[in-house]
Amino acid sequence: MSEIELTGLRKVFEGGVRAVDGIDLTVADGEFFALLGPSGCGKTTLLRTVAGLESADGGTIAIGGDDVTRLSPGDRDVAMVFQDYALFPHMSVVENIAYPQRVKRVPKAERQAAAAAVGADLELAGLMDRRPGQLSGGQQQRVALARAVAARPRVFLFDEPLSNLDARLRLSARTFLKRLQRELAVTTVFVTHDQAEALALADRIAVMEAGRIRQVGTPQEVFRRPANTFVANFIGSTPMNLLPGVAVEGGVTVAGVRLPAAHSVAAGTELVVGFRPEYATASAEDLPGALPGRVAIVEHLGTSLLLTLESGDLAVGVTVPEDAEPAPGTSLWVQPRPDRLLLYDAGGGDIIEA
Amino acid sequence: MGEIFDFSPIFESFDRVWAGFQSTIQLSVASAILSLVLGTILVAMRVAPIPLLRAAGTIYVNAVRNTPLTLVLLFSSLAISDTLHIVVSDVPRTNYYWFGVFGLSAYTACFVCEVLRSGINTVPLGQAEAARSIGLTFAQSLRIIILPQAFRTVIAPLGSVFIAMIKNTTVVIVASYAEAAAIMKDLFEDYSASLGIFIGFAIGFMVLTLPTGYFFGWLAKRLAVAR
Repeated sequence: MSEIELTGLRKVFEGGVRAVDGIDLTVADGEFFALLGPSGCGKTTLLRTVAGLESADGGTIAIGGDDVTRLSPGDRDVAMVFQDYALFPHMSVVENIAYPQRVKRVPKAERQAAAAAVGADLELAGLMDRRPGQLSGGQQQRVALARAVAARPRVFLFDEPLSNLDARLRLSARTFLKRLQRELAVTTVFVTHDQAEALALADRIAVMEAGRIRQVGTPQEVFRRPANTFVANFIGSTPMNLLPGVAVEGGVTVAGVRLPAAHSVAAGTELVVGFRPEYATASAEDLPGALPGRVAIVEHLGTSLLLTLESGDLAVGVTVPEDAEPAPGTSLWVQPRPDRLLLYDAGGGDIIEA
Repeated sequence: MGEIFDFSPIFESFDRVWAGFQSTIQLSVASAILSLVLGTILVAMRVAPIPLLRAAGTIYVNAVRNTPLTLVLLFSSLAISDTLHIVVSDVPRTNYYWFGVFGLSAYTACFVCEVLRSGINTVPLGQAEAARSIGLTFAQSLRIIILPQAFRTVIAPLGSVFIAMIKNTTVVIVASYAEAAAIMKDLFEDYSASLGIFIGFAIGFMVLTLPTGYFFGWLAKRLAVAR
């Protein structure tokens, strides 16, 4: 068992920046867990604190039930993959992969065999005698993974492992990484600022802001029901529509249009109405519960188009099929799917349960 | 005119000139090795996580580097032999040779240390963190990960330090050890000063220093770290 349990974890930098501000979190054994958030939200500091590269200023870190809060990085039985890989440039690939075991005094023959096996698994077989500087970015990334895998740790910690790859390679490396984690079933925490990456890879995601966790959930939960407007804004390839509205009996009004929605708030309460551009339909004629607008911007997303409509003072996004491209200036009506309408508190931004 | 460019004293006393340069080479080789070792120890102290070691390294480097070499050499010979009464060898010339080597190394080690320290600064921080995260101690990560990379980036500047050191051997006369420059002074007295002797010895030093520079330049290219 190697679940990770963080209790009241705090890390305060000089100058009083609370990079990790009292985090309670449990990552299950074998889970692929993402720490997601914008730059400066503390996700990397949290990962580095778990790794032992930063010392915690409060709280505890337990791995597999053992308190490791005060242990040095090498004694925590974790393997870290760094964003820039941090391969040792003066050592060959095989030395890079085998070195952690040399530190653990594994006999030479054994660690060479392990390195060769892991290298073969990660498609590095023909490259074992090269230096890191002679490898492509994707190959370097696999060497960094191999170094972590060969160490046979209880926990993998990945700091933005895919962000130094070009866009095309990132997608194949993502699939590769997910398969690898499934096969090894080692508890893995990875940091990313890319919400698509987190949704694609993780079993569960923690969305962070300013040193705190704003929501923890499966990709589906986080995508479907963001717990607050911060998460709603952050998750999704297209920005979620967050429009000011007023509660009425059995619905809300946005810019004078009544949209049906189940809620228990008093009529007249101001709130924020959220729906994703993908969960709305655009129509050339007025429909009940549809917001009117004029097409201002058309963005091609591949299989669909993202339209930004001007509706009075509001900007409303909606996606339409790729072959239905309207001319800018066209009048359209946007009808959100009632079952995908989300209501948020206008002050705190927390979701209002139906 | 002919008298000024008269190289005959060099050839007439070539045995003495050659002996002088042999002494210079012996001083240089021993001091290069010793200063490299000392400089590496000093830089390890200067980047160590122990404040006391760091302070000791910093004080040593700043004190010795900012003292004229002549004083360092005098101190080396006077303090060691006259005050501490340490005798390295029963042969006086060998004894003075080592005082010269000690003084020159103590001085040159400061420059080696500072060059290495700038090399350490070129090694990305991630390297040290990767080393820590796989369980290397500070000393191990310095020896296995950081210094090998640092050395490779500063080979060319180290060459400059050693070239300066070779030329600095001419000051060792104050530690009572006669090397090439001392022989040159003798020749001046024996033959009355002439530009020929002067140029002859200058060429002799270039024969030592130019290849040193080329060698370090070649080594730097050969061992360059590709990231």
